Amino acid sequence: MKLSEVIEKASLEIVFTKEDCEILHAYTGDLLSLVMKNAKSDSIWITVQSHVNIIAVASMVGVKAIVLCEGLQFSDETVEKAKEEGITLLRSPDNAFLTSGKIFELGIR
Amino acid sequence: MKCDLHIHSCLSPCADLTMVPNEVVKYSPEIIAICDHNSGGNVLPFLKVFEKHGKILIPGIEIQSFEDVHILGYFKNFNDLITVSKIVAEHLPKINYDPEKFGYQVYVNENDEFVSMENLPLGFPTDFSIQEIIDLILDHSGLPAYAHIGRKFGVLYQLGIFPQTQVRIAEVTNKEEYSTAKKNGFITIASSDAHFLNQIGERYSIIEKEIKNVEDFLNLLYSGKVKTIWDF
Repeated sequence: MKLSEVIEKASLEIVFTKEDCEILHAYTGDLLSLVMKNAKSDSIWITVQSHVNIIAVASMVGVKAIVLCEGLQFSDETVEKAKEEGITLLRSPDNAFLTSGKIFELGIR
Repeated sequence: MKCDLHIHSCLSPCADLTMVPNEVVKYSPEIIAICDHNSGGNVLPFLKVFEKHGKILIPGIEIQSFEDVHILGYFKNFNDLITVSKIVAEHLPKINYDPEKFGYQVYVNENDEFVSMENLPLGFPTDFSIQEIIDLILDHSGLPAYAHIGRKFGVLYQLGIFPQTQVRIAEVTNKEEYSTAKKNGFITIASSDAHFLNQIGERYSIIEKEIKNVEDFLNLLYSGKVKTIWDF
C-alpha cells in the first residue's frame, strides 16, 4: 500500500514527508534495540520513542515512516535528522495500540 | 584497589532495607559509589561511616530520563550532588506514592536508624531528556556515565546505538558490552548495581594506584585509569 494512502486512511498528521513510497510491513515498539533486531525493511513504525536515535535506527533497518503516538511531539533535532535521511514523520493523537490497530485494518502486517 | 561504583542504598525503592551504611561498608571494597535512583538523599550517612572505616565513598546518583535511560553522575563535592538531587526531585511525577506497591524508600542515619521515608516516586522517570540530564550533571562539576548499557534501562538497550553526547564513560556488565563500548571509544567500568548486600562487589573495577580522596579518583577515572577485568 502507498504511504500516502496509509496516512490518509489512518488519519495521521504529517510532520515531514519527502516522497511517496510503498509500505509493505509495520512494527510497533519503543526499545530501539528490539526495533533494530525485528523491524522489517519498507515498514511503517509505530512508537512513543522520540529520541533522535529513532532516525538512525529507521534508516539502518529501512523503515520508511515513523508514527509518534499519544499526541507527543518530535524534537527539532529529530525533525532535522529525518529531513537529512528522508524518513517520513507522522503523528497520531491515539495510543500505540489504537494506531497500530488502524494500520492493521488496512491489511498491513 | 578494587572499586564498585554503583551500589543502591535503602532509599532506592527496589533495594533491600539492609542496604544501610554500617552493613554496606562491611561488604564493600576500598572504593564505592552510592547511586540511588533519582536522589542523593542518603549519601551523607554513608560518607560519614566510610570515612570512619578508611574507605572512599564517591557521592553519586542514578537519574532516569524520559526515554527510560539510566545515567550515573559522580560528584567530587557532596553539595553539588545535593543541588542536583533537589533539581531532579522537581522533575519527578507528582503521584500518591504507595510504598506497599512501589517499594519502601527509607532515609537512614550513620547509626543505621531509619529516620524518615521519601514520598516522591524515585523509581519513576524524570521529565528530563538524556541530554538535559548530562548537562545537569556537567553543570554541577559531575562526571556522567551510562549505566549498564546493554541491560534494561541501559542506553543501548533503549536506544539501539550510542547517541552523540559528552558522556565518555560506560558501565558494562559483560564482555560483549565491554567490546561494544570500547569500539565506540568509551572508558569502561564494571559495577555490581547491588540492591542486596551479597551483590556488592559481584562486578568491580580496578585502579592500579593508591587513592587518597574522591577528587583523585574521579580524575583518574576520567583519564581512563580505572579498568575492568576484561582490560587484562
